[in-house]
Amino acid sequence: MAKAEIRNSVRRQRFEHGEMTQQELADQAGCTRQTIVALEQGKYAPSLALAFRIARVFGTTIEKVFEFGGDDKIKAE
Amino acid sequence: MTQSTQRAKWKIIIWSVVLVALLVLFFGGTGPEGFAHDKRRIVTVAILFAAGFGAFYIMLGVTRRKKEGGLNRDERDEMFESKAAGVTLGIVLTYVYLLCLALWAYFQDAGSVPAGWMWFLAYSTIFLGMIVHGIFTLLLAAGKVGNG
Repeated sequence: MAKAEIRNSVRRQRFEHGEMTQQELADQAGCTRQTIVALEQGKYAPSLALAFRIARVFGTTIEKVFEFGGDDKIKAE
Repeated sequence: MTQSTQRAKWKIIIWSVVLVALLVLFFGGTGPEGFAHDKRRIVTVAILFAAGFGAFYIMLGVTRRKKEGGLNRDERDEMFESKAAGVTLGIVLTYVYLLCLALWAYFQDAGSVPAGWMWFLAYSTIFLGMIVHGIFTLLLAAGKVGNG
């Protein structure tokens, strides 16, 4: 089964939020720094729960951080 | 390095050492044919087995400590471990099947398989399972296979 393409703007959002570090975001979102790294590199599609937590850290909606592309690759902005 | 990858690395090291020791003990001396009658070797392998699990559980305890202010494992680690477990099951089942087939092919003319091979099959299956699970957890975490 092909993977869904999920683009994200996590890196941009971090810098727009006072150049938040990956570790700070990980701590607030309840995941490891390695997961944030994988997300930013487009190598990992998070669970819905993690996606919501990350959006909540940035004080925005999930659609502003994650975007479904419908292709068979995962990319990051 | 997350707790998951740290544990996988130590799992490979611990169980590889134990597997090598098993191979030396099993194929050394009087070889596989004499293993079932050699109490010294049977006890040594049993001690090795217990020591392996002892080291493994000590390692789990040592790596349990959380990083200050952060998680040391999350959903991504759980996904890797779960996928690695699936791969491990397939590899271990194939290993048992092929070893049994090989033993049957090798000993069919003799009419029976030396009982020592049952010890080898039992121990090596566990050790192989641990090592393969560790290897695939690391490969998945490194993005070498699957959704890393």
